[in-house]
Amino acid sequence: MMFAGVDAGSRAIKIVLLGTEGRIAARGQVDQAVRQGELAESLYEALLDEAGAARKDVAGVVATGYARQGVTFATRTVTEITCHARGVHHLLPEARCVVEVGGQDSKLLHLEADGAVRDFSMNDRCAAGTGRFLEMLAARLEVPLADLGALASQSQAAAPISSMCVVFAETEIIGLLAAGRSCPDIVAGVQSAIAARVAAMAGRTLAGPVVFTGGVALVGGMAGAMETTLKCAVTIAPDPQFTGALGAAILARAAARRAEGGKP
Amino acid sequence: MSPAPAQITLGQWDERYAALRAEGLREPSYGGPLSRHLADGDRRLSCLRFDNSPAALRLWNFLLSEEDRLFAARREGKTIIGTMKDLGTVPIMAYALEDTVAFYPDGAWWQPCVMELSDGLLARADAMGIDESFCPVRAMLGAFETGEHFPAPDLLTCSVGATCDDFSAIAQRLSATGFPILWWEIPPRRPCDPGEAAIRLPGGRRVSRSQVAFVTGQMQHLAWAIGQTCGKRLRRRHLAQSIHQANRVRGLLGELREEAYRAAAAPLGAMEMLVAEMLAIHYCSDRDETVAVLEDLLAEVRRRVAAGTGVLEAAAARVYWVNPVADLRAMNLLEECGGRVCGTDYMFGHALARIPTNVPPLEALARMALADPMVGPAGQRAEDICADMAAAGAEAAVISRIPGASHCATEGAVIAEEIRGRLALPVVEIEVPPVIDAVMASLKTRLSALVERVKERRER
Amino acid sequence: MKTVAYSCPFVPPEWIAAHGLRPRLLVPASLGTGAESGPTAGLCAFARAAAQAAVEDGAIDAYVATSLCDQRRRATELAARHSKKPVFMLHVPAACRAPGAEAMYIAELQRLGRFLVRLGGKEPSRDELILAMRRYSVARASLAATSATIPARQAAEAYWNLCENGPAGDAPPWLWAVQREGKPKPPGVPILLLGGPLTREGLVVLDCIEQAGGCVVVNATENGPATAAAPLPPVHTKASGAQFLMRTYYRHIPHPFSRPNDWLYEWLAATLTKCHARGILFIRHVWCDLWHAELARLKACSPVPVVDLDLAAGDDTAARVGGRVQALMEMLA
Repeated sequence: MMFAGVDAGSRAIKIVLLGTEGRIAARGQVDQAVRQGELAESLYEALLDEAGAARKDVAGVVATGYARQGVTFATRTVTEITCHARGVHHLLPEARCVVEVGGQDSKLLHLEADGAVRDFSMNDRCAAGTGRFLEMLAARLEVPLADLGALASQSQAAAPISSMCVVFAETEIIGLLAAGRSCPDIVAGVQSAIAARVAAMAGRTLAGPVVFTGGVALVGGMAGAMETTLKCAVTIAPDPQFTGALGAAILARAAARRAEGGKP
Repeated sequence: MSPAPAQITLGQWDERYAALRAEGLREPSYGGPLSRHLADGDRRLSCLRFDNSPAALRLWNFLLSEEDRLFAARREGKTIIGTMKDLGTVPIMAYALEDTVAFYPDGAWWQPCVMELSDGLLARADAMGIDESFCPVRAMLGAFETGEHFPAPDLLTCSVGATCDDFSAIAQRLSATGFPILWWEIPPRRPCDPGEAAIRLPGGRRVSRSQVAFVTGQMQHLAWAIGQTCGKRLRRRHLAQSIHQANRVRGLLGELREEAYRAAAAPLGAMEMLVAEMLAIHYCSDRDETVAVLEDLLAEVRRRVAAGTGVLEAAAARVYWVNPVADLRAMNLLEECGGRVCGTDYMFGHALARIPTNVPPLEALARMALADPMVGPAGQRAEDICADMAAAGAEAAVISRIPGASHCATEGAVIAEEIRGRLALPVVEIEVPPVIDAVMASLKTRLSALVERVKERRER
Repeated sequence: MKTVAYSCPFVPPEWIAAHGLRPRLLVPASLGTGAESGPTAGLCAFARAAAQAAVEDGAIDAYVATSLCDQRRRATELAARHSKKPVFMLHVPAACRAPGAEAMYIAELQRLGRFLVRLGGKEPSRDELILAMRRYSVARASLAATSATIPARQAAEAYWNLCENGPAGDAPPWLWAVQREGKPKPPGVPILLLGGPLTREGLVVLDCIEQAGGCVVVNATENGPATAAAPLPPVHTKASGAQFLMRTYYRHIPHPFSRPNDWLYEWLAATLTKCHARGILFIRHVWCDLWHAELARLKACSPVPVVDLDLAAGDDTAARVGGRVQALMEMLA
């Protein structure tokens, strides 16, 4: 028997297939597009093929992410807050704080020892605190997203970015370029700005260990910017782009076990 | 021979300072080269252009040494009173008593600018849940937490009622973190209802006698609390003497504004004038020295006016500036774009007006508080700005928005509408963050376009 | 009969009614699209929508605004700038412990009374005012008892109905409307709602909570039934009617604007104990500094989880609310 977690995010759809014993049978991702439901379906089918399974072998599918309602084959939907918490706890049980920066929003979760969410803060209002900011920056600088880390590492002094709004922040970036600020300084400035907005959600007391997850965690320099701003060590979750989907699959398995009267 | 009036960089000031010292410059205890403040962390100074007079040097040293003065006051056992959201009223009561110093914690909003965010004060405010959607005065929260910019005061007062939501909320947050506040109420200034007895305020507005009586009651309570904190009774004659001294500062500022803003060629830059005007509300924690600093500045301005010299060319566009800026660089920028400031409304016009001396002192202070342009409707403030602009011969106006300040959301539109409607002058609205580097290009475009419009209108 | 609108909980409708005028609580249909003309950046969408509606609605003859916050004061001023409609600004003192604060609230009510008389109302006697207060007080108590048994949306609408149509007669229309619906309150995880006022569109928050398995046990949003005036105490003192209004409104209604605002937290602690809520959904409007600044303190002192929900003009309200409410319910599961 298998369990599936589908994280239908704003930038990509990620799916994890989990075996009964908790082993990942298959996982994959595809970029998000207009026909979100169809994309999820075809990725799901491909992963089932890869795992040598059929739909009937899957006992539960939990969908999460901002487009979770569009995942028609899901048996249940759960927010990405709960899924990321569960996924990170599964991988790094010692985690007490999870920072997740996605394309659409950013979140800061405080976890109990058992992985339950004690408190969370979420920013989906100010795009200057999300991955969208990095995408805009990469497009403006005409560099691949993956190269931003290398650029940031060459920074001499991060350029200050003050706008809360990505549209205005883009104007600031144009202004900085016009004023002759180097690309590395601008990249470092943008990364600091994102980290500062996450730190604003953290409050005065941040109980660690802190784990950084979500697709943006893969962008070079971001974890360092988080560490500098949060003033504590930050661990990047293994395969951070999949923690939401993994958490969803774990929740699907737990629900099935509960339904059978067993321990989740 | 003294060099011609000019605006010079920090590096040039080092050379100028050495020359002045060689000529026998006499300085107060807080004197010294400006660049020493850079070494103390005031990084922004390296981006500014300063007036080259010894009077301006004294002004800057006075401003940038306030922290030292406050910590010295603490060591000397003086009573320290933090007067929040108070634009020039409660400090007059505090300075009525010996060995008492008042300061303006809201002034911490300049720290992130002066230190180019290296102080971390805004990040501390973020961590307290007061993020960038609030006015930069939130830096004050960080300053209270670190205790590095001023000592913890013996008494904290704060006015509420017809005040900005953001400041009220920030002060409440401060109170909840263990800094008790004596709150006092300032009601929104309103016109008299039919049949209500009226009282004329400094500046000419009329309000109901009942509003004045209510605020006088608040003043009485504040006077009592200040007396309790200092262990002395605040007597009427002390207050009268303090009002006299406050009027001395206001009189000097009035003359300075008159001379500097009306002169054909600006004898002093907008930045120094902004710093000087701010002295009216907080005296940089030393009122007697404020008088000396202003006297020096006024003498220098008079010398320049008499000589027909200035720091900017006479053809500069005469621009009226509304609201203070966190980043002083913005004032330099206007001048680089070909403008000069010829009048201002930095939200505390009442603190520049003479306090009445023909009524009991506490009532006089109550009248002052009610004359605050921010406690009345934006429409009234706009009318006053228009009158001031007309008198100053302004050719354009800059309305500077303070990011996150609740009053800025609506009043800019009202003020701009009045200026366009009454004076048919060009107006530009800008937003000035704590450090303007990232928006410099956009600000420069707007300010240059404003100056270009003024020049075009002149040609027509 | 002239209609006098208000949108702030510190304006007593019984005071307007006792003057022979029709009080009407103004609840904007929505926060708007975000594409309205005039300033929007930095402006609380609720304050803007309420002031705009007051000025534009032809069925409203006059508007009573308050200085409860700078946003309301200035939004009203902006909206009324080019309107001839009478607008009264009632000052509600923020420094609640400052000397003269309570007396000022009373004086402001009396000044409002003179405004109402100029509008065509008649100054009520003490007995007439007490009678009006008693009617409202009884109606609110009756509604509170009914609210415990009906869905949260219905309870909120019934309360607004009371504030719009008054407590007239033995079978007042607001109660009749509640009873006619006859839906039982759904069981679920007890949730307390706290924060800024809701628009009519914003009632979707209540639906979302119930659909997600929650049960709104206290709706303490600014215009919700739980933050209504206190019941009228026994009238055996010589206190004036306005003094009773001060006690039941100014001294009673929990609100973050008071300085200091400890009463809000005392009230909240007592209410949480009484209602056994397991979570708080904290509602605020973007740019509302007064509520926003309380979030960190609330999270620090609340014994139950607090989830923040910020609302703005142009939001897809249902989607945003749905996600937050679902997350809250998952936390409490």
